[in-house]
Amino acid sequence: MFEGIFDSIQNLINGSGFGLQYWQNYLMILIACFLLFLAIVKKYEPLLLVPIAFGMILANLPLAGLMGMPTNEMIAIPVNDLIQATGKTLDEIRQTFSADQINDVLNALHPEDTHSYPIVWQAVQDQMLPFWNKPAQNGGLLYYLYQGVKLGIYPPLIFLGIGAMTDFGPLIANPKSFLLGAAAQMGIFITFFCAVLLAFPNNEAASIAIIGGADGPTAIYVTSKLAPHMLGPIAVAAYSYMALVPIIQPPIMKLLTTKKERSVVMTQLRPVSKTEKVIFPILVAIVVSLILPSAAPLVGMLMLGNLFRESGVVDRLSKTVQNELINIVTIFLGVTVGATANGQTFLTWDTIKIILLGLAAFAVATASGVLFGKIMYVVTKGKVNPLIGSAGVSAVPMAARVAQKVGQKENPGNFLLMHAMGPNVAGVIGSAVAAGVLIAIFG
Amino acid sequence: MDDALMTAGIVIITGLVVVFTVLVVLIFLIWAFGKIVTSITNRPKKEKSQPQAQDKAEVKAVSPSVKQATVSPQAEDGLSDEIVAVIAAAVASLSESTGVSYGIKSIRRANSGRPSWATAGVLENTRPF
Repeated sequence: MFEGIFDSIQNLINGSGFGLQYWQNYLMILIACFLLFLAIVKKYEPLLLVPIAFGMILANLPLAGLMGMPTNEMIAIPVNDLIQATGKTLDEIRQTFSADQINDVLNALHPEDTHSYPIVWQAVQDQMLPFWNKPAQNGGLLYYLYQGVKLGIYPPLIFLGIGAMTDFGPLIANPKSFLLGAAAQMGIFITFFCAVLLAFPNNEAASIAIIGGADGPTAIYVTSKLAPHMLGPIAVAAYSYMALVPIIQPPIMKLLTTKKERSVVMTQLRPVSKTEKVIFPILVAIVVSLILPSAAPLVGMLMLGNLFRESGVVDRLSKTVQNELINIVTIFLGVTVGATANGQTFLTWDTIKIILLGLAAFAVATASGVLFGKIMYVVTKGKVNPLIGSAGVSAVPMAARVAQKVGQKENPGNFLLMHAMGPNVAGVIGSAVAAGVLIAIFG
Repeated sequence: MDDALMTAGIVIITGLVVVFTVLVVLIFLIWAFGKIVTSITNRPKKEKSQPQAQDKAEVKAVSPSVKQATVSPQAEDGLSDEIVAVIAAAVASLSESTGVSYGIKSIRRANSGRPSWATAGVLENTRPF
């Protein structure tokens, strides 16, 4: 009797999640709990980390099947049964039996599969044995939500919201900021080279390199197109480094600039008229999409959102994309990206390499922006503060705030924020263009 | 490996050239339409310059009586005349834009834990993305 109880308890344990778990899943659940701690207690990027970390927990729970794919069974139609039951060949059945008569025979043989009768009738007409797909099991909830990532739907929708939140005024007032936004994209291409040196194939190297764009949606978009299997580590690395911008950037900025350069006070930007702000998104969308069609989904949506904001005639749409839409998409994106971080696939040497290359990408992007800022400092005879170049990595508005903070340390009366917002939003457009280039080459 | 590095080199050069080209084209276009918009918006101002001069004369004529009628507001200790003047100018500007005339009776510091500009900054910067 005791043996029976013992056996049933053991069967219960073996059938539960504990019986099937790999150690990697436990480790991932621990990492996810740590990320939740950072988000909830330390308030590090909670809007992103909470859904990502919880998605990681859900994906590493066995048997829940939240990321499970739907399965289809290929089932042969029992036409042979029909042949055996009638004692005739397919050709004879075709000549002598009507559809109703065949249905009667099938009803006697397979009364539960009534939906297959027309297919059998067609098989008799075609004189061949058919197969049909029978859905065996539906996919998990997160699998279906993940299609928005896989098909590249969520990142452009997030760009729509970002566009509606962004004021491109500083960039329009000082278009030269575009150069700083372009220079910071150097991080993407240098990292691509490093990733190739580390023997990553081109498509994977391009996905890793885009982390240097410091733009989560862009990184996810490019990776979903070029190397979907690497989505988990790349998204986690991109968002982690974006949260760490205030720690990563200042040492590089100080190392590459002198006290005199950091103290430069820039002249006030000219006021930008409403007409310019309305024309800007239309112009950028047309020009970028014509030159680089593969960047159109990201840049097009960014500019549509901005047109909602600046036109002033669709306030309801502008508010919706800035709030409800972007929040809903962030939930779906965060949870499903987190759910791609399954222990067995996530905890590999490649992930460690990706994390390190991502850090290098961020550092090189910051350094390139600052160095180009120094060039502009020399060319303009000391009118441009090179610190604003660091904001050329997207990470809006964090990177601009870092430039403001570092500049104000040297000169408390210096306000670089609006000057840094120019390269910052130029960086968003620049990284979308760089993403378009990579997709055009390797997509 | 050599082929891979060669490809990587080509990608770096192509990528940087395309990114810079696109953004330089945008710089030129934005600069150009900025110039056009500025020139268009500046044009009507010149035509209206004469009526504006007349308006100014009217204001000058009216202002002495207004000055006599106004009573200087009670400003909190520690506020310089310049700050009072700035606040009065801001209120006057509001009166002009809304068409409703406002007066200043007293100027006191609002009791708030955080300055309103700082609050606006925090709100702006803590919104998602």
